[in-house]
Amino acid sequence: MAGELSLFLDLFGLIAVIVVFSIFVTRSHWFTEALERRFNWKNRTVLILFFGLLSVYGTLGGVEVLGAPLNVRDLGPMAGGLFCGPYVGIGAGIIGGVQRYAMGGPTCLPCSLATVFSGIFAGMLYILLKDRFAGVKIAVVFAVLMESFHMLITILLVSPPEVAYGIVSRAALPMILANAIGMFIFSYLVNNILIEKKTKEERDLYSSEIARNRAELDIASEIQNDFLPKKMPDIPGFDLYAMNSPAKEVGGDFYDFIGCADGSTGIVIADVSGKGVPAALFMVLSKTLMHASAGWHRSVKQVVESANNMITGESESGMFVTLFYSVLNPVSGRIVYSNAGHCPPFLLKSSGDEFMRLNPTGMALGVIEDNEYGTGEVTVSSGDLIVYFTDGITEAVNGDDEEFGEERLKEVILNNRYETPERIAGSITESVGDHSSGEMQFDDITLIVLKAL
Amino acid sequence: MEIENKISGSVNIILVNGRIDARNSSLLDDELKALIEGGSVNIIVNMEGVDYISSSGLRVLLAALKKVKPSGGDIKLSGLKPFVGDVFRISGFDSIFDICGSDKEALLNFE
Repeated sequence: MAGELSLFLDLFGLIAVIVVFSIFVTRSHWFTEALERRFNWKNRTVLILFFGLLSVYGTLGGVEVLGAPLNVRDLGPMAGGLFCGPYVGIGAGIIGGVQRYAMGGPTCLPCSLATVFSGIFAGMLYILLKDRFAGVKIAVVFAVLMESFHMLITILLVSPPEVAYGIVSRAALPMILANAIGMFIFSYLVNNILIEKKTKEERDLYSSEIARNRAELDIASEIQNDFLPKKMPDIPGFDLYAMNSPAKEVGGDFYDFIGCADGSTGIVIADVSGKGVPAALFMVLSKTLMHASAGWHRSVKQVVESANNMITGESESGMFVTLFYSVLNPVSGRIVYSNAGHCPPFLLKSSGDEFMRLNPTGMALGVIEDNEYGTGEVTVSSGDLIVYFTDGITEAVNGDDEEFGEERLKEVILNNRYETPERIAGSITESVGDHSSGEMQFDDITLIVLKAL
Repeated sequence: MEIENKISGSVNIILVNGRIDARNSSLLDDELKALIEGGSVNIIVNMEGVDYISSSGLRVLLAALKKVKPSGGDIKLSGLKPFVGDVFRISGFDSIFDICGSDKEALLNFE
């Protein structure tokens, strides 16, 4: 009983040493460098010493099981060769082999040779596997084969044959098992490290992608912000307020004001299809071309048609922009407009409660070249209101996918019709916010409120 | 949004269900791109199950149309609900897309 307990403790001690050694070595930076195949004389030397030491311990710490010697001398060179290449395997094999040879005994030649061969074969397998590392299965099978080979050369080299047979028949099974278990522990730890490394690389890649996306959003939002007019135009007899609230994934809404030579003011509101940096760049392009065209041509029709041709020429990925352009003559209150596929602005006359929609007079800009655009005309007088907006307002959804819609928008405008444009715009954005509270804002919200004083 | 794909002769029919908006228009974009890169140029997008399309959705359809036109193909739309039809009318896209009542009608127009 006491003998069995001490045997169990010896075996347990052997395994414990292998585990501690494996953890210590595999977590060292020398071993990490080896796994990354960054070898130099320093880490090779250290690793040779480590695995050579494990081999020596395998001999000295060996135990007798039911009269059979049990040692894990070959484990060091095998593990070293398999995961750190032939130099480390052979180096550790020589250390373990020489030490074993010095101990003498009938099996000293085959035992020390087998240890050197363990390192050589493991190193060869390392080269054969090229850029991969041996998995747990390969490593364990290799250990079993290597120990079988160890037994074979013991039979071949030890004489007389009866002695050799006697030793091998007692030692074969426990030796094969012990080395296989040792190899299992070591390769299992190494593979865990390899998996951890891979997971970390994937996580790093993922977080750098997130960082890039975030940077892209910031850039898009900055571009959009930089290109919006910083101050409202001064139009005698009119009060005007414009605002833009970009979505997280900027949508490319914009507005613009153009002072015309005859004292009229051009008002632009537009919505670029698409999101992010591409939409922001397309917004800059469209706004610039529109601004230039408005400064160049006199008629609203020409302004829009010429801008359309220039924008179509630049649009490759199917991008387009819906745009409403209107020119207000502050003296007469006459407004001439062209609506290129934009959601119709609302005109609320002071004399009634009915809204007039300034409907499309042509296709969105950037879709087809040489498209003709019609124009419309309205005249505004004191107390009249025009609310220009983008579909980010009417299409803002709540948790049930219910849109804010035109009716709610009309209601807010009616309830606030006597307020200033800034207050009206504030009320609209507030009720859009209330409606979609808790939901992400998926589209830009842009509003222009014009009021005749 | 759910997308189904079927083939009728040389025409691919894509069945779209749900909303096509900024959040998910890229799904439709990927589907159409894959079809066109695979050599399909005659495509019907069946929108019977589409309740809503935003400008992002229009952009995806327009991009696909611009890709198939040069090789003599076309993107035809079928089964538009009234609201979706309005979006095409307001944007003027009804004049560049062949909008059909049914897949059958669209298939006939391809012949």
